[in-house]
Amino acid sequence: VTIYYVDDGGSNTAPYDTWAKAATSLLALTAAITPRFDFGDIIYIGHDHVDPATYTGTFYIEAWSFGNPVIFMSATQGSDPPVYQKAVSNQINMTGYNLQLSGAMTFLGLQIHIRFLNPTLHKGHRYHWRDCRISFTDGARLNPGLAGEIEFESCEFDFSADTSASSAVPLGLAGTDARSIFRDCVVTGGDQRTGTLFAGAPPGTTFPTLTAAGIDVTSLTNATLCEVVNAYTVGIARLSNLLTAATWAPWPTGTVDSFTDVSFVNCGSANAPTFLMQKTGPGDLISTTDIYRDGGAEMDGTPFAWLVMTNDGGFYPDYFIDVGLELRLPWIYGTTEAGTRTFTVHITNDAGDLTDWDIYLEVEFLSVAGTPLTSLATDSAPGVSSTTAQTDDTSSTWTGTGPSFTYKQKLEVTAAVAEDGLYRARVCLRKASIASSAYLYVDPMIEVA
Amino acid sequence: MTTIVKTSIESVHGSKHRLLFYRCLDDQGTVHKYGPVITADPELDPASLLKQVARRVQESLDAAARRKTTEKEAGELAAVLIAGKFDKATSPELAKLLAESLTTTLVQAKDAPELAKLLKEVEDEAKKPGGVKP
Repeated sequence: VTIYYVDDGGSNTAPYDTWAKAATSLLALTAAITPRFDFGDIIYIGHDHVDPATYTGTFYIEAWSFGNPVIFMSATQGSDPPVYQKAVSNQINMTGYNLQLSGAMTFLGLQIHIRFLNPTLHKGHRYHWRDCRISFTDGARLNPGLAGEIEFESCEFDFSADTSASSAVPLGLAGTDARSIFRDCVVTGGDQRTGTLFAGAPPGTTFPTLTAAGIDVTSLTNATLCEVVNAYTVGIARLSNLLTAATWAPWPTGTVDSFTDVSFVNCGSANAPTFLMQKTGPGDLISTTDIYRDGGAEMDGTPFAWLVMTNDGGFYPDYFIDVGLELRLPWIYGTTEAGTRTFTVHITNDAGDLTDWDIYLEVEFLSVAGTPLTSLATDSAPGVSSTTAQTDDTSSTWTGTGPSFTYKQKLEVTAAVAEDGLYRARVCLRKASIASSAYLYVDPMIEVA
Repeated sequence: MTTIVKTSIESVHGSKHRLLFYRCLDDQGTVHKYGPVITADPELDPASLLKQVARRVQESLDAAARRKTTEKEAGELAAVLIAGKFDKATSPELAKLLAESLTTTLVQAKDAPELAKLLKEVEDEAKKPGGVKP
């Protein structure tokens, strides 16, 4: 482990081990350290350091890809021992060029100005950015590569200098099998951008994963419609607590891979605890508080329902035939007492009555007294050749603007519950090509009688 | 190149937090959907977004088309760069990783008009002593 200092007031004298001997730029220090930084090296950078370096191409910083990470920390200039202080100026300033990282690194409180951030995510490479500010120039993007992990915590991404036509390129989540994590971050100066916030890997690559929690993207207001994810997210993404502009689009266009799994929870222009959107290969679910069944599901006193749409069935356009590729809505959990119980879910749509092959209910319940063993009961038709329409629902009243609530039905499963305790139920759909104009809504409250 | 020829509103759901769905028809007769757009703005006219929706769907289609045609080119360029700098026989894993990394970067960069600049930068780096670093 070696300690280095970087500061524009230093003498640029090896071994750069004091503020007085500090390298005058990170570029100069990196050039002097060959072939790469060592395990656990610490580089203190003056909090008011102004990068004087002239860049003519990509700036590479290399470290070992395993073991203790190299730490780059912004510190109060002159403090001894060095005291953490967030940067007040650009400690790396490379307008028009890219920063390429390779290895295991931690960045604390840095402020940088770059075009692309290319953290090379080979296996074992990992990067942790905390309390940093990254401002991008034209054509900006965060560009994770291959397997590895990058995490941004309490960071700011500033796009105010990104005014080129190429600003349609997105911020992050690219590459193959990369794990990208964003927590408590803010995106600023993004009103001129025309691209989505997160973009996935090109089709045909393996699965990247994204976790984004507590991100303020309210600056994305202009032509973007505040688009969050684009059509090429092939993988798994969990986005929660995104604070958006008043008008936004979680994932508006493009087809998805069969095994893509993206969900949004509590996202919107205000706190929205009922908000859930799930986008998968077979179809989408999105919750709304504007349309609901009277007496149906509520959260904190706010009624809501789920709008459901399905995609084209592919070779068989009417139905999802392949095993495992139906649209399965989330499990809904509850408790019930032993006895013969009927589980009911209410649905409505404007296109026509749905059959027990189109849509059905699955209930998993305690089925053996004295044990935690469960059984699965369903009202699904046994096959496409022997279907019947689901039961009409003549008693429910639905509220909301848009749908006519023309067809109201019930999905019902009766089961012999053998033990008091937990059950879970979910609605599944085989019917493909259900458009938003069908206004298919599911009340996620399970009635047990 | 596929071109969007007509954009319309497919459905509007709700009143306070409206869900807006659109559909775009291309010159091949294929429908491309867009939505939901979620808006808490009571003044927003769904029809006012038709042009933006058409542009974004067109961008998406164009990007998909570019990816198809350029993925191969990018892979070939990566292979050329590697061939000049690494002995694949003795460093096959390194060569594979570099190829994957470069291909990914170049394919994504195809979305940006400054691809040529990026390519030149990569090529210039490759010519320097030490070449492109993995």
